Amino acid sequence: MNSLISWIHSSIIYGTVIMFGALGEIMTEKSGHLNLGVPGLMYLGGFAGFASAFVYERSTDNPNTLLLILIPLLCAFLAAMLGGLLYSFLTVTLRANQNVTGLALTSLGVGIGTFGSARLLSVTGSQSYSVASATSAVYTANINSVANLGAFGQIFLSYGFLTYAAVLLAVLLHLFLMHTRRGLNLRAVGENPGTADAAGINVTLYKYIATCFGGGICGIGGFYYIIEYSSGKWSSQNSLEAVGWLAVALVIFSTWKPKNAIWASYLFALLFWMATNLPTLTGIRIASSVTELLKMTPYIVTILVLIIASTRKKIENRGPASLGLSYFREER
Amino acid sequence: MKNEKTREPLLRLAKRDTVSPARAVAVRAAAIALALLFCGIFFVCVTDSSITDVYAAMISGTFRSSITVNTFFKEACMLLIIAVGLAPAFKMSFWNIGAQGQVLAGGMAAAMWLFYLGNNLPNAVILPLMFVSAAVGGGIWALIPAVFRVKFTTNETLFTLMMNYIAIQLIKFLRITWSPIHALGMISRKSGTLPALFGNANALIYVIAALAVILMYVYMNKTKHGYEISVIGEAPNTARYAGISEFRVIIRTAFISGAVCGIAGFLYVSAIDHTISETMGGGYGFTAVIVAWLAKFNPIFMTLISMLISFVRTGSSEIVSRNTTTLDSSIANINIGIFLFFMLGCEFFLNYKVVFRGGKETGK
Repeated sequence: MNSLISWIHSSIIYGTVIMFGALGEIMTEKSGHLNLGVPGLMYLGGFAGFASAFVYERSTDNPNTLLLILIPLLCAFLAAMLGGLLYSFLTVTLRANQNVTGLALTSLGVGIGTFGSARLLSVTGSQSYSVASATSAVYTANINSVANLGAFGQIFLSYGFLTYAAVLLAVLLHLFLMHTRRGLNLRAVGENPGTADAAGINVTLYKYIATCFGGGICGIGGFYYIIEYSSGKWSSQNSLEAVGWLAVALVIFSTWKPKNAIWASYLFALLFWMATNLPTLTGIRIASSVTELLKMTPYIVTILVLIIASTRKKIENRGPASLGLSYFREER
Repeated sequence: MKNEKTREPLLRLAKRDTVSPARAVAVRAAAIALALLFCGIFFVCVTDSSITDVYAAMISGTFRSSITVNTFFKEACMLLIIAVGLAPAFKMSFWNIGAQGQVLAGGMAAAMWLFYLGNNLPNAVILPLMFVSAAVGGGIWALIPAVFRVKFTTNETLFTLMMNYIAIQLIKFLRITWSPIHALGMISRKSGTLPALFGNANALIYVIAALAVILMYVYMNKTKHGYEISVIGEAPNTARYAGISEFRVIIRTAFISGAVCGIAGFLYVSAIDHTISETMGGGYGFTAVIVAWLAKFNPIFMTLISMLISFVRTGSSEIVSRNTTTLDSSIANINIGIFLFFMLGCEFFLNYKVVFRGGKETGK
């Protein structure tokens, strides 16, 4: 029973990281831009959020709780947004190839994240990681730790507020995309920028805002990874890159709909942790080499999902029609 | 954009039909110069040394001795081989971004022979075996996504990417299985090491890289296969009308693409690392994508860009080695990132022109 609870617990936390990335990427892709820079954006956001929390904690003896929340969150969002801005400048204004630009952004973001972490390590003198403990405490504060509510509390109430914020964000984005005029405009831009342009929608502006905002959300995902999943430690070894790619794949799985991203992320995360949890749950002893093989599951599942998604022919399950194509007004 | 209704906008874009070679060279050279300047400024900011020191260090770190020059060429050649492998796939609009996985798959296939039979077979037998199975291994790794792409139009970008992680886990599995102490060092065997040529251990890497570039150039530009690739890449409907089998061409090209990357894996096992690890391929998977794209599959450009990136890399690591307390090797990735962004950005000035208000669209 306990191992089942811990499996669900770690899956919800891991799923939230993927969900932030997927929601950010859905927003970006709705504007017709496939951003393969999600891992880079997560690194940027994670690092900026962590570093700002780290610096703030060291600069004062009595950190203000509100500032502890606001500073890293804003920094994470802004840093990743700048990454999104760089991407949109290249792909929207300069019309560079989206796949190639995204990959370059990933290299750059991962480079900056690891470089920055090395700098932080040299500040603390610690060997493998640095910690922002006060920030982590604020971000992981939860009801279950105050009032012990048994299994129910452990499964549903033992997370920091960002975990619930991710679900709320998914609902809000769903409402925005499906029930507001601006959401309709954004979808039009992604489906057919030429028509949207003719209808008087500022295509460039929509693309920029969606890409930058989407980038910012990915950044918060990276920050959440550091602060909740790694409990406030930035270590030189982390697997943010793989999470970023899973998030990109999840966009296809959730058929570009934020509300689907909610359950899809948790499902992905459950599969991700299957390798480590299923053996303990069932009491089967597994050699460590086989565990490495079992860790393939999320990637194999992703592939299966891609294949299943590609056999679906319903038009509402497809991605934005102009996804991946640059828009140049004079070329129709 | 907002003033559109009342008057002509201040800036306007027009597409260029053709670009003169002189302009193409000038724009790219300017982008490279700017990128190098930016890298220099970045280093000045993080190291407290002057900009001339930075460049002097980068140059001396690359060309100081025969060892550093060899490292520089070796890195450039590995990047080049992978980029050459990716080129035909991209020309066919098949986004193979799983070069990393194909390198690993080739490396695993090669290391298998080395591990089990490295003491029993002479070099003349085992090296060809390793070479061929590495090519087949890498090829299969690219073939699987290709089959699904043709059969179900499955998104090959993410499929090839996921194959990377599957290869990584397979390598981790093999490392543990092959080595009881869970840390596989060099697989030291009597044979299976690429021989030195003219006293240079890397010489055969250079030869294979040069051969890869030349053969791929001929294949893509002078053969029927190459022609079919470009027709499918640029006009799939024309290809269908002309009776070119999309299935056959995509499968074949993906296999070749993966096979060349697999050969890079063979070189890592037989000449560079003498073992397998998940970091094999040096993170060149994505960089090679960008190299192949920037060079527009032109082999000469590909060689030049690979060498430039290798220079940025060796130069960066020289500066890192002089400031080990504050910097680490990831700085090379930042510089390569900066470099690639400039190169990507400059493409715009080759494809479009900015027209000022009242200006004429000349040069059409």
